[in-house]
Amino acid sequence: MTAGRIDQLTEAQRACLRLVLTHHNSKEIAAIFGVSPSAIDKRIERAIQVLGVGTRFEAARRLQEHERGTAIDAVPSRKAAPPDEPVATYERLPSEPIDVPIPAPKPSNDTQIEPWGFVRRFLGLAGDSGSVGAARNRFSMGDRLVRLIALMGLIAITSMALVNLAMTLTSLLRSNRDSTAPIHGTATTTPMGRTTMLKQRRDATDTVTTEFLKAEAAIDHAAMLAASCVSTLLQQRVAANLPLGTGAAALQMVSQASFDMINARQRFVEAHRALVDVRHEIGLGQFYGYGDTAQCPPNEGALPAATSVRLAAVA
Amino acid sequence: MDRVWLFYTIQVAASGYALLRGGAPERLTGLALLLAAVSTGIVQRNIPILFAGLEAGVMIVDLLLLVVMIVITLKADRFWPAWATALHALGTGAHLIRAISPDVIRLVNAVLSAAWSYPIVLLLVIGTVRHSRRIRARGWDLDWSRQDPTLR
Repeated sequence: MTAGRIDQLTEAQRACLRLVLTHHNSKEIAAIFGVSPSAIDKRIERAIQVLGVGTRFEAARRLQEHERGTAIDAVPSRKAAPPDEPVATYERLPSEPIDVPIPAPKPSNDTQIEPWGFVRRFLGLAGDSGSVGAARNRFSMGDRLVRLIALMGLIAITSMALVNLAMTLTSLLRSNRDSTAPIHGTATTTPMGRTTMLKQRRDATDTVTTEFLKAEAAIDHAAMLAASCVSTLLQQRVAANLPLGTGAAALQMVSQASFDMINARQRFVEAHRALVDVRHEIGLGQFYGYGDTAQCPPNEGALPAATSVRLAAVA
Repeated sequence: MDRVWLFYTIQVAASGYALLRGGAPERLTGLALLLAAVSTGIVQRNIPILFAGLEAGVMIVDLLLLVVMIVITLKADRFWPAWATALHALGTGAHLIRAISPDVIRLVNAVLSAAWSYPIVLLLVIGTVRHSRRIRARGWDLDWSRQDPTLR
């Protein structure tokens, strides 16, 4: 209400009002502060104007309410307040010109310097939120950590189960679309001696896989040899003390060939991934897992090379 | 591309609601999620420049967000942050696994990476709604559990 206006009172005015509250008259107050009574009157009148009240007692009461933070009913008796208290608390002001109200409200203890005050209130650490009561979440931090990890496990398992379910259903539905023979339920069921659609596909897949891996190994080997050749050319020129320009054109060609081989090898790598997809598409996903079979170790390695190649470059 | 803008819209709306109507845990989470979404967008714009950098940048953003959310889970007087943190931790783990082994379970990876964010945003909104209901019903709602003196 008048809290803002009370903030505009100077300390001198407040001191006077406090003495007014204890029934000192202007002459007495003037004697205490060592200034003229008219100066005291001026202060009090200014305070009355600022607070917008009728009498000095009303102004003094308002100040007391504000300072105590509670409403008061009765005016305290004069005898109760020790008269020497103001003298001890308030220094005699050396000069007392016209009372100038403080332009900005004085910062009180509960709001800090502006930016940090905002941060504190944003984080709920201001301490003035007025939120009191019993906490709902009464777990300790250790408990919460344990529960968090348990929750992670629960969600992970649930979602993996759901995804697995979805994949199985999808491949089942896809296989059913081509409606010749039905897919046998479990992955370990062997064909019954008749050629089923499934066996056809598995045979085809296995044949393609073998051939593809052979080609992939070959191109990888070829790329390795070509690159090694480039390196060897460079080194042997030095070893034979030949001039820098020796065989430059040939070197370029071999290097270009090596570059092309590496590109070709990369195409095989990409084709490898694409073929794994094809395997899923034709409905063999549940039999091969996600590229996790004997032929496709996690690093997507090809079949082990028949011979170990010793690169000349790392001799 | 549209899915990205849809997600940004949802995220901004949810964070805005949390910042306006939430308690301290909701505000903090709303701001953190917003910053994470924006940072990830900024980092991913550098795709042509450095692929390795992309993964590292996204990972760093994820880890920072994870730290903030773990702290909120441990200290806030709420239950929903635990769920949101669990979801986000799993999403971060999926990124990590994909960074280590790029080709494992590709489809599941795609699902894991994109799908986590929506439930987290939903949880934030639900938490904010419940908080504002509690405020309306009884006038107060503790932000951090240690604000309850009986709990220390």
